[in-house]
Amino acid sequence: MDLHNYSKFQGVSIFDTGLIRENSRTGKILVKNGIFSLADLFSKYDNEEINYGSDKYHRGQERKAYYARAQIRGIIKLIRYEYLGEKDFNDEFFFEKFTSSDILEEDNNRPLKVGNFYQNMKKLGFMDEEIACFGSILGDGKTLYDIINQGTIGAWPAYGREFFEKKLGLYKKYLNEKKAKEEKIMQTNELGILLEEERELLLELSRLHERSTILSNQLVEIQEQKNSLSKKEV
Amino acid sequence: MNETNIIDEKNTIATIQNEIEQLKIKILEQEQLLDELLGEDLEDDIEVNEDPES
Repeated sequence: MDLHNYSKFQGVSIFDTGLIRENSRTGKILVKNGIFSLADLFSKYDNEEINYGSDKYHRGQERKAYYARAQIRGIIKLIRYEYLGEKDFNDEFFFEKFTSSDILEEDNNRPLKVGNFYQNMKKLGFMDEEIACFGSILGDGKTLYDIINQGTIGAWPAYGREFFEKKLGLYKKYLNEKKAKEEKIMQTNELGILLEEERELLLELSRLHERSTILSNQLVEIQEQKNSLSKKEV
Repeated sequence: MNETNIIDEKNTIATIQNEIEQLKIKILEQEQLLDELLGEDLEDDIEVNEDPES
């Protein structure tokens, strides 16, 4: 069942997004699923009708299956972010596989070089969730690490460079938006705390004014009594 | 915008804290004056009570 109307994306080819190459594994898998337009893509993704083709394309190799599925889902999420404004980059499936200790302790012979990538990204101060998203969306942890750490995309093949840069640009945009939102929340919280402090101080000020007024009245009263007694004595 | 509000709010709080300090000093002075005046009254009372003619 379609929850959304994606008809306005019917005329937009998935290859117009600049995020999928026609000859790439992702492109081929999507076309095998009968996905040509963004409307097809969004609708089938919503209904979980996409066959990521892990068995067929990767001969059932479990790690590569995770890798392909996560990478394709990551690209779809980037497309949804750009065209639908969705900001859900958590991929629980990949996150679980990516951060679980058994994978980190395994040998390094795996597509993402997960262990190194994970440790390196941790050193750079990224949270688990962000690292999983990076890996999921960009698919190539080592290259991403080079970009962040050395400011270069190294030996990334020329044919895929612009696609990779677009993916990275979109994800950076998302991270910046997320950071700005978090800062705004922190500032709002700080403002809330300050307003509460001001309220308490104003209450104290009010109590002190009250106390001062009482004292002032007492002083006037005593002075008047003294004046009255003095007059009587005279 | 939020950042400006936070700075404004901190300034407001500093002003109120300053007012509170000033008011506390004023109250202290008022209490001392009151003590002095009441002390004088007490002395007067004692003098009156001690006066054998009264």
